[in-house]
Amino acid sequence: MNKTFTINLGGIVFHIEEDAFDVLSQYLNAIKGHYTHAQGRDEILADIEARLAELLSTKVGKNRQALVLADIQEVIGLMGKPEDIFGGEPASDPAPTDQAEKIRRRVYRDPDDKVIGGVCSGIANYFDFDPLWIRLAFAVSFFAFGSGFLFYILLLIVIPEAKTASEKLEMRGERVDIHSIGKTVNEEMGRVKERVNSLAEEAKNSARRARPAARNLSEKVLNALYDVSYYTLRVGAKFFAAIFVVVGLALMVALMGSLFGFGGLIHISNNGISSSYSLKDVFLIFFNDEDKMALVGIGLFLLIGIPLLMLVYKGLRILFRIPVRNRAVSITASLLFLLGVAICLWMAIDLGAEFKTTGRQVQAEEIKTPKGGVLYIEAKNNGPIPDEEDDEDLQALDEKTLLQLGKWNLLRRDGKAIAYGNAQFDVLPSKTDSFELVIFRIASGATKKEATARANSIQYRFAQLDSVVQLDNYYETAYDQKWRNQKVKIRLRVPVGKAVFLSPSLKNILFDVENVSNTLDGDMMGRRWVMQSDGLHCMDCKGINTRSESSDWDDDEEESSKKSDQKKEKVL
Amino acid sequence: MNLDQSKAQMRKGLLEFCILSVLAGGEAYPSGILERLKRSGLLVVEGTLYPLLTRLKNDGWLSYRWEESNAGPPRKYYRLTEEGHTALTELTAAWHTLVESINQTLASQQTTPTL
Repeated sequence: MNKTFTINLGGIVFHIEEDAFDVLSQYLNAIKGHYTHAQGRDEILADIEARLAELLSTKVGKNRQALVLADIQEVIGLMGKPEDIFGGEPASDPAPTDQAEKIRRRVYRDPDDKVIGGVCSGIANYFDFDPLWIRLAFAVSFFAFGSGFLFYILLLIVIPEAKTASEKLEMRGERVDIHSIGKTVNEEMGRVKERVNSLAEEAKNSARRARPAARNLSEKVLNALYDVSYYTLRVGAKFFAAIFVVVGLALMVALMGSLFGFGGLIHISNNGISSSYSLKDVFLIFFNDEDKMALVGIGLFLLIGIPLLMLVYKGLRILFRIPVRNRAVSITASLLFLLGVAICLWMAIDLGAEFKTTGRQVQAEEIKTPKGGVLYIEAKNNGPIPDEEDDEDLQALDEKTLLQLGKWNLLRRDGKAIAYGNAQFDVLPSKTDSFELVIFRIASGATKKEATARANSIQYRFAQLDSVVQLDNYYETAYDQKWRNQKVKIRLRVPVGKAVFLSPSLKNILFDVENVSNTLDGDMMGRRWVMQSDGLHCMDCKGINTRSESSDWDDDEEESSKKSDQKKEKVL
Repeated sequence: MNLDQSKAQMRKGLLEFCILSVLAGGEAYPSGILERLKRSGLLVVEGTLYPLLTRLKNDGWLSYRWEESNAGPPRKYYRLTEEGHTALTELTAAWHTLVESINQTLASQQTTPTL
């Protein structure tokens, strides 16, 4: 049994056996190699093909449908070798003749020298290396998060095995090095030049013949433009293919690294602190189920990894001129990619359900009115983020590794993961004649009950010492509660006629405090504010330029959760 | 250069002239021309013909038309143009001169003249 191809020769369809096909296509290529475009190569080739078709059509009939090697050898004998055919013609250029006889090298897997699939020996052959070095390089790269393994599998799929004699010949064909690459580029550029020159010639001629030729000319211009861009693209394609392969491989290593938890995802927080987290750590913030985490890992690997693999695959194919044998690879890749999309969508919907409802717990505390009528509010930095310009603290923090999701922070303390978030502090008029502090603990959940329970579990403290109220900068939530849009809002209700002093230490939690002069939060700190019937008035702001336009900070809950969602995406 | 090559070179130089003279008898398609040339032993391999036909056509000595064939691909029927006829006349004259002078050269070199 032999494999056959179907070919179209001079407009007639033939079935031809594989080995016969190889000989025939080599023969036609050799003839092609003797001539350049300008010398009517295509026409001569078409004539020869037509004659071959005529001769071959007598070989096949009802009893025999496929052409065999003997048929091809017979008609080639009749037609003559390329050297004989063109012997009588002035040689176009000795160089191409020379080149056509040499077979250009192609990359194949070597079945005669293989450890696993002959990939290494094939590559070594292509570049004239000792296969040992390539094998060693692969063995080492297996430890780069297994990306070497993936790459090997990819090469196993991309590179065909040298099965027939002609493929083995191609495998050991003319050496590919800088010189021969340069030659190829020159040749292709030569073709471009040729096309442009012949076009210029045409233009000159048609100009003489004037009008009727104009249409013809524009057609030719289009054709020439097509040719020029085609050859330019072909030269450029190799260049881009090389970039594809290199970039694709680098990204693949990074992806494998972060998915399997070896490498790091570098995150730079607002404070300029860089910390390294693996994707696994990031997933842990959202998912408490190990199975779901594994699913997300697989989904993301398919979603990002498959396009990267295809990038490398296509790049390698262009670079090493590997023809497409079957479409199974692309189809499989597309299906896997779609599977990845489906898994990620499913997980996203699943996760979205966890944010369906919001639960809140309200804690109202009465604050004793201080003797002077001014309540001093300050914040205690109980959280992970140190005050700025404190190098020592920054260093300490770096070791604790910190990840920020909007106002929500993750860190490790004593080997345990703990989540922190910034509280939001606001000042409002009181309905009674005493100070009141109201603490809202808010969290999302799949059910109202779950959300409320989660809100209850948020830890947040404050303390009053005479005329000073000290608020915690951060709330703390148990790590296994995961990130469910937890928030703590504190509202200080100030009775009319009483005043508050906002300490500069509040800078992290002061959140869009309404006042009559529309002063921004930053300018409100370090000053006393008195509550009057129309709102807060500044007591120490004389001579200070306060902004009159209203601030564009938005107190709306929806808005702020959207913001943190965006940040979340950035981190991922 | 061996003997076979010399003979081949000699034939190749005259092939164009032969094609023109075959076509002087009316239009023909490549396989027909091939038959005639093969019979006279002037052509060894068929492939030689196609580049020559293309060149003669490009030079304006030949023109062709397509004709459908019921066995195989459509055929190109070649015929001489006006220019081709003129060229053939000149080449024929040149050929006779050439034959004469070659014969004379051969005759003068023979040790015993046959007269």
